[in-house]
Amino acid sequence: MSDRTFVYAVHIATTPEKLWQALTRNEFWQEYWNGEWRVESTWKSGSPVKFFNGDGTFFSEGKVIASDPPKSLTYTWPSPPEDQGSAPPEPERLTWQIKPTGPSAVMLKLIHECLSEKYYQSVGEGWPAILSSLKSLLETGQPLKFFPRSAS
Amino acid sequence: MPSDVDKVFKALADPGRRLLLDRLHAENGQTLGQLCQRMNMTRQAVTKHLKQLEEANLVATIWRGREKLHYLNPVPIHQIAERWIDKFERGRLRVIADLKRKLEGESDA
Repeated sequence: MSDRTFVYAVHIATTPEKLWQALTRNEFWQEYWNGEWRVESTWKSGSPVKFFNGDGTFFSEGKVIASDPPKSLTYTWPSPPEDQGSAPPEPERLTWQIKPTGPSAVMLKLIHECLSEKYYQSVGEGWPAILSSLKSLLETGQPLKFFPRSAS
Repeated sequence: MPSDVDKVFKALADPGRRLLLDRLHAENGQTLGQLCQRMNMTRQAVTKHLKQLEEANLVATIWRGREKLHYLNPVPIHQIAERWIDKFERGRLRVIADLKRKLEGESDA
């Protein structure tokens, strides 16, 4: 398997259906991603997934590899065309697994595979904030306010 | 029943478990067998520690065929940081942490 893989897990007090909506609906994406991304897809197996930057410009297009609502969803997230020279042969792949752990509690697991060298470091820092924000949005109705990215 | 935060702090309170997290931080996605190498612990002890780390959600696992791979899951630590640290300036904390590391060498013990 690829050695550039991250696996994240978070408990969220919600239902699998609500979590599925949060992962697939644009309004949710924009809220817990702090308005940085927009995504478009029917989320059916084989259908395209289009990613847009926060300013509306096209980022890249991936594909839904497997979709089993509200349990699991896998899609590719390719690097934008200008980065593809340095990209690994296989596009990045995201898998979301939703497992109920109680009447209104679920465990969300995110598996992020095939990361390029360039993104490996930054992704590691990004997801915990995004997942915490997603948790907060579903449990309290409020996403976390991110601090502006430091100019490091 | 202990809360999630209790479980995290309890899991982090043991040097052996912190060592396992360090090993995953250095190389993510290891099997039990790999984690047992160069550990001054029995396989049973490593298994028990990993179970506790997984219950505290500090370690997330996935199956690849017959292999169970262990990954460091930073989300609970991030949530602790959000709770107490984020209102302070993260940049400055990093400078202090860097200074401490330089002055004390690389060991964090």
